[in-house]
Amino acid sequence: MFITGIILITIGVTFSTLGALGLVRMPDLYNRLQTSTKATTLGAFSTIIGVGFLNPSWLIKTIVIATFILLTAPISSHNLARASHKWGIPLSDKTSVDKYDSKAGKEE
Amino acid sequence: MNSSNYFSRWFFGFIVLSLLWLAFTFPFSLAELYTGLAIGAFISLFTAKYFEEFGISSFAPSKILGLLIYIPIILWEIIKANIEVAIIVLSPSLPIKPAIVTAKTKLKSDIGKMFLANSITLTPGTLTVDIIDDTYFIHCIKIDKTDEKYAIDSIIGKFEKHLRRFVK
Repeated sequence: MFITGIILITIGVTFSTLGALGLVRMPDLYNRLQTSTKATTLGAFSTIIGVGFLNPSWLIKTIVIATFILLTAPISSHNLARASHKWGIPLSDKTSVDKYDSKAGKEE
Repeated sequence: MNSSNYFSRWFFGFIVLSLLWLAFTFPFSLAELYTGLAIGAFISLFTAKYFEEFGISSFAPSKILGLLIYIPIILWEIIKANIEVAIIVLSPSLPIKPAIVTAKTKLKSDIGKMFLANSITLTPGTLTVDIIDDTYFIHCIKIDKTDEKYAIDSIIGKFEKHLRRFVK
């Protein structure tokens, strides 16, 4: 139990760090959102589950908390990306194609 | 809307809320249990009108089995994609090739589309920007081809065939 918990927390901290690094290195908002989903999925998820393994009486509660994070995190990412695109925040020069651009106006 | 009657919808909400309550207060005392059940019954009286579209039929064994199979699949996809994005972030040349591509889904129900969109966004490297009818606009951090067929095969396909077991 103890070893599993330590391993899970180490994985979580590693991926949170990589998410933060990606946030600095990526060229535009959309790619930054991509790397920040990494911090929320494996980062927060395995840290919380790892705490549950360290203290087994909390395990069920931590699984419920992790499930709520997994259900709600993508909605905020999606809304940030959609609002930014509608507001006209440009994509980076490396972007090869933007198929949303031509259809975005039709919806209104 | 393929709606079931009010009682069945209320009962579904009641069961789900009660199970959540039991999970949260796990070594529970009897007084906590009764309070939780009463509050769960009370809350689902109000939410039944808007949520729990399919009522008790959501508890069909085939649907629960489908969901239980889906959870390890999505966790595995998340781990794989996490490692891929970690390699991109760590490599000095930053080998990204972003694009917003379209992909059409075969799923019909709102809840099915919601599951698929959340699965895509949870996987690092792909992000659902918008859904218009059955067309998904997906931002990818690195994609080789931008035509629709490739996008359907590489992004949507791996989730859709498992989702179709328990949502329409």
